[in-house]
Amino acid sequence: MTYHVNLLLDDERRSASPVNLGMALRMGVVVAVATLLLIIVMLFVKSRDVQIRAADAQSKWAHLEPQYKHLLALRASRDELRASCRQIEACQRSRLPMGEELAQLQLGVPADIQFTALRFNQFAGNQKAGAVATRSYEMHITGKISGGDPKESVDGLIKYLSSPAYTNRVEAVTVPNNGFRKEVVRVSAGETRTDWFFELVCRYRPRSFE
Amino acid sequence: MISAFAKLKFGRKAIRTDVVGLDVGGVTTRVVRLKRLDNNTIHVVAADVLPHVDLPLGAAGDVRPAPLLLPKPLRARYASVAVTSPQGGVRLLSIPANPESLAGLNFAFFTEMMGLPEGVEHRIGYEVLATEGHEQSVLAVALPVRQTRWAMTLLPQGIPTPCSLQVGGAAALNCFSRELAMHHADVPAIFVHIGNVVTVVAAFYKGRLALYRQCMMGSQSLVKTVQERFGIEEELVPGVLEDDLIDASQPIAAAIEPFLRQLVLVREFVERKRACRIEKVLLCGALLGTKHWNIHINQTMGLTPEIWNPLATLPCLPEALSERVKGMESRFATAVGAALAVLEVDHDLPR
Repeated sequence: MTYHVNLLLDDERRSASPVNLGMALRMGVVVAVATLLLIIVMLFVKSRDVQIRAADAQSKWAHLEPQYKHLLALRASRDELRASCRQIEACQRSRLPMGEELAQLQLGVPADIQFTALRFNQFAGNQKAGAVATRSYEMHITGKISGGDPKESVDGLIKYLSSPAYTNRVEAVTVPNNGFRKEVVRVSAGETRTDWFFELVCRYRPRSFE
Repeated sequence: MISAFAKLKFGRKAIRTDVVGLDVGGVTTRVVRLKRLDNNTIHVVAADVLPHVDLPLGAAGDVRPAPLLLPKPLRARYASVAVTSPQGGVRLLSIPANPESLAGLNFAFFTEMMGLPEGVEHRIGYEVLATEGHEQSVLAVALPVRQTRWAMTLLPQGIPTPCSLQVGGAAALNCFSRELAMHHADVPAIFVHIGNVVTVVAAFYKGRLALYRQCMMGSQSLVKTVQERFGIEEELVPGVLEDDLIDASQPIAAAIEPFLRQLVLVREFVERKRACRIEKVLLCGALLGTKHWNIHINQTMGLTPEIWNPLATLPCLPEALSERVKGMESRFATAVGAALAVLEVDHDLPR
């Protein structure tokens, strides 16, 4: 049994905590309010700062906008021109340089061969959607051989067209059916002459538009 | 005064495990720190005797004593202050066990029953101890308001914080009760607590308070008697009381007579009412002239009183008792009881 008759009044009691609870609560409230006010002030200042910076940026933008639009137009024009240049270059690369071809052909034609016709045909190739377009060429040569060994002369020309000088450009050199024939020509009465004619088809490799 | 009485609330449910008990108002200030350790046993952590603090005995004005500075080992979180005052009243009252009687426990009732003097404002508290048959026993205490305010100003701020204010005599009952249960198997016993001015006699039956009496004589009465009888200075009296060189038995017997009459009345009342025999008398307090108290009590009661050390009631931590405590251990019943009251109210555990 405990004999405890406590004469202490409620208003005489105080906390055993080294920190007074009431004071701590009051301090907490004050700190919370102060913190809240500080946050509000900081937000206000930040908001003002943002507003000022936005106004400044808007005035700068108003000054820069025409220049910027002009720049965009220039860029668009430049890109368009570049695309045109690329197309022209691709077109150029896809074309067979006729002058160079003829100049090079002259160097390899045997002396007893005389061209009677030289024709270049051009074909559009690889028309599939999404694939790079190509251009193909065929060179048709018709000629006459005077003197010498006609077959050897024609073989020499074919050999020249298949030589390393043409390897990168020429795909195949063929003699069509009945492409090597002879014709007896009457020179005068009782006198005839035998002429040899040939035809060659030189097919070039396709040239892309890239 | 009535509003102050109405505001009293007892038994606050706060868990306290570390309490310093202060016994103020006596010749010295007794301080003991008790702590409930992890194994749920209460230990004496520190005890010391501090200088006397003047108790305001007059009726007028507030007295503001210097704050009591406790040494570090005595600084618990909570303090239980017991005021040992000749003006403090403690009564064990028996009232009919019915609701009307409880409703009548008001300030006027206690003022009349305790014989409190008029013109002195008192703070009164009470606790219903037990109900037996048609009676219930009520422990009532009273202390002049001036002294309660004085006691509170001793610990004005910081740690320890006062959690209990008790009257010295009532606080000591907790220590008596504990000692009886721990070391005497709750035999019928009488505790005699000799104060400087007031001597308390508390009779216990089956571990419960059966009777409480205050006798307005104490060690100071013996000192004055011897001093006047032999015409010697006060400082020489302890020597006379302890030695056999001068026979002071006759004046001491005369001085101790009123107390012995009270003691006999207490024994006879308890023995008749409870149909038992008092088996022990335990003596503590300001034991000046112990042998005289022993002889006279032995002659009157037919029992040899045991000198009781209240600090031995509880286990003591090493180095708990300061040098100043040695030889004064028997004076700590009130301080120990004040702290025990708080610790045991918070932990209603078997003792």
